Amino acid sequence: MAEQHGALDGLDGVELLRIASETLMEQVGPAVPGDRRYELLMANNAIGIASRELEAGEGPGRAALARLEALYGESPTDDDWRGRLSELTARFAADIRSGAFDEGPRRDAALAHVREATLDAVRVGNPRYLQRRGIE
Amino acid sequence: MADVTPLDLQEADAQAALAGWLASETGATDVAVGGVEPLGGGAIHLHWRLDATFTGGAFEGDHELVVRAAGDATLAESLDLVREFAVARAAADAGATVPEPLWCCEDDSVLGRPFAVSRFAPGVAAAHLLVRNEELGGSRPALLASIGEELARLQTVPLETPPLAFLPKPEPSPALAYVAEFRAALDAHPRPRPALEWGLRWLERNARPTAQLVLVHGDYRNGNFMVDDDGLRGVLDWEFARWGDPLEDVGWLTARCWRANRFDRPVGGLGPREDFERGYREAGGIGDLDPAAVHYWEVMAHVRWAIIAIHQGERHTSGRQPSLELALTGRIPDEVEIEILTMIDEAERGEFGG
Repeated sequence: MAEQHGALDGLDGVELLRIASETLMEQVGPAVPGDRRYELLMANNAIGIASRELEAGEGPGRAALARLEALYGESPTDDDWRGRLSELTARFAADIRSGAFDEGPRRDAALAHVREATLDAVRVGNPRYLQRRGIE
Repeated sequence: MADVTPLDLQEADAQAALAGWLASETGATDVAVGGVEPLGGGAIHLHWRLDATFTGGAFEGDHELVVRAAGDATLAESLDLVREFAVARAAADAGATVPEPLWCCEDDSVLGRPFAVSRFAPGVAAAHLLVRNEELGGSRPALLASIGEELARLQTVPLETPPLAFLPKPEPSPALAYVAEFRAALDAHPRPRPALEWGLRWLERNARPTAQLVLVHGDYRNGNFMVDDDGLRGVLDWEFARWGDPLEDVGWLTARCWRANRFDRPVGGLGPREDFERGYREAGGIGDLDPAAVHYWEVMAHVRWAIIAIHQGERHTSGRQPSLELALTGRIPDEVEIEILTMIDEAERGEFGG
């Protein structure tokens, strides 16, 4: 995806979303009536999330897969890593429900994975929340 | 509800139908309806404020009323307007401050859909305004105390109130019924959510017993408190009512997700717990405000909000209701999950009241 022509000129998706956001807030924003300001801020928020998601790329998903493979003692695989991640995540969720991680040596690793995966999602969705709560 | 005809109470025909029905309900010889203005606020129902002059009958004189009519969309998990009216009526009878519920009409031939009429109560109900503007709602300690008093009062509604026989009694307990309900909701969602599963497992293993079932408002928080400059004028939105634990509404009220970033003010971003708790205890609230138990119900509140937010996101992604606001709400569960994990960690270290 990053190898397309525009991206090589420094005009990748993240840059386009950045300038779109700046235009929206600095040039369109002042002309938006007060009762539509909420929609403006929501649109800008959506752009921010999309941009961070693009920037994070496959990193968080692949890291999650590596943690789950380690937890379950499965050997790493590169084939259909997304399908593999969904599969292991579903298994992990079901195991939490049935109490497989209530106690014992795997509990800490399981909790660490839950926490790290959730943090990765918030880093994309609302990193300011983590700052406000003193988490990061 | 798919084929309801549109309703606009600013049209003469609808007003005449309403006036005729009000006259027959109250024994008036004539009712004149005017000054109809739409009110915003409800996401599901339609609202109007109006002036009604009753000639003869039990309501002789001028009255400011609010008409609430069933909207075109319904939420499966909420009570319909007729049942919500019954709950608000029972709460008012128990002494809770509610815009007085007057009449309810189930006959579709009047306005084409069910509607309820209540007395107009002045004031505003807006969470962010209330958090930001400390003048609003009068003295803060007094406002917080009255939020506690109101909760204590609504918890006196007797479990065997015949008009509320439709409200289910959670089995085997409110806590475990919620866990089962939320797991079923997650099972209906395409993507697994390990952090919510972690929270639910903790809620199951640490489930709190409920000594006595009480009426639970179900959305008892800053955005549903109608206030003016003098204080609390009414508790709104009874459509999520149920029988449950006395601390359910407390945990919802003080959950971190409703603090509008004022994490230093546990009661809905409005102020400290102590003022609220004083009001609740002095009005005879039956729940034991044990900090560990309140903490438990706050974790439950976060899981519940995450489930609701997932549902809202699905209303967008399913194509039923394309909406930027719903789409963004669907991303909120991530940060709610962080709070759930943090609170479980706090509970395990014996840290409560944050």
